Amino acid sequence: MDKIEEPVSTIATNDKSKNNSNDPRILKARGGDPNAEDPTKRPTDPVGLSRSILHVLKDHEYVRILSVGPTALNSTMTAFRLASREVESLTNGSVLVCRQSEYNAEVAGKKTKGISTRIFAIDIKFAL
Amino acid sequence: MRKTSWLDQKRQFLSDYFAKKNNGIINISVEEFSKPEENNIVSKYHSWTKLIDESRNLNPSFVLSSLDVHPSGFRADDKQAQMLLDTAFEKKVDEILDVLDEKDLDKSLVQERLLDYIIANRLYKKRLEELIKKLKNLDPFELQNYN
Repeated sequence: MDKIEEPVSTIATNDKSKNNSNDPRILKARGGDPNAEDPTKRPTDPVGLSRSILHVLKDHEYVRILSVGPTALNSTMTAFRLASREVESLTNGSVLVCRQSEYNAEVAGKKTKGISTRIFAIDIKFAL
Repeated sequence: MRKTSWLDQKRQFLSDYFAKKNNGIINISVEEFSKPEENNIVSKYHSWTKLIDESRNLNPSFVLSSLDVHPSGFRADDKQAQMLLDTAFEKKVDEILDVLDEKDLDKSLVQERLLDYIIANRLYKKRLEELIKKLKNLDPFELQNYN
């Protein structure tokens, strides 16, 4: 019997997965108690997060940081300031700009609101 | 109108109220607030062809602003270019809202995503005509990556 070839091997659809867990451009800042004995329950270290921001921006056009609660947001903004300083000192006229909006987050199965911080590196002449 | 006239009116009202000359009902007149003219020029009825044609001879520079100040999130150094960019941006936002059928999708979210897209792809560095063409040809589903 002759083998019948499929007319198309894959069908392109517009259904794109909304699973962001493997997106390298997305980082998550954690809240928590700075004095907790368990390191996994301490807030995200802003210094480490700032390095991650720069690392992502080397390969991608932007980085997004998801945070829920004031402690996590504080770590995010501290990291942004540290990364900005680094970019301004290492580049010739590039600055980091951040844009923020609310998003629907889920923490321990409960729906809540979080802040999505997007950071872009742009030429200073487009930022002034 | 004197700055303190409302204070005088309030004093008179309370004085009359405590003297039982009125029943506590306040009669106020409200002046109509007219929106800034800048946003009124943004028209949804421009066609893409017209927008592209009108942008052809313009070469403005853009600076990142805010969606609260400029409908496109960018400030242009040319009034006509500003109007064309703002109109194209709003037109695309409306198109996306028509095409995407998501329950949680509201206009401000689409505006945020579209502005993120422009910044991330550095479209602000392009000529206005090219920028508008990019907006025209942008696949709305592409923006789902920016959620």
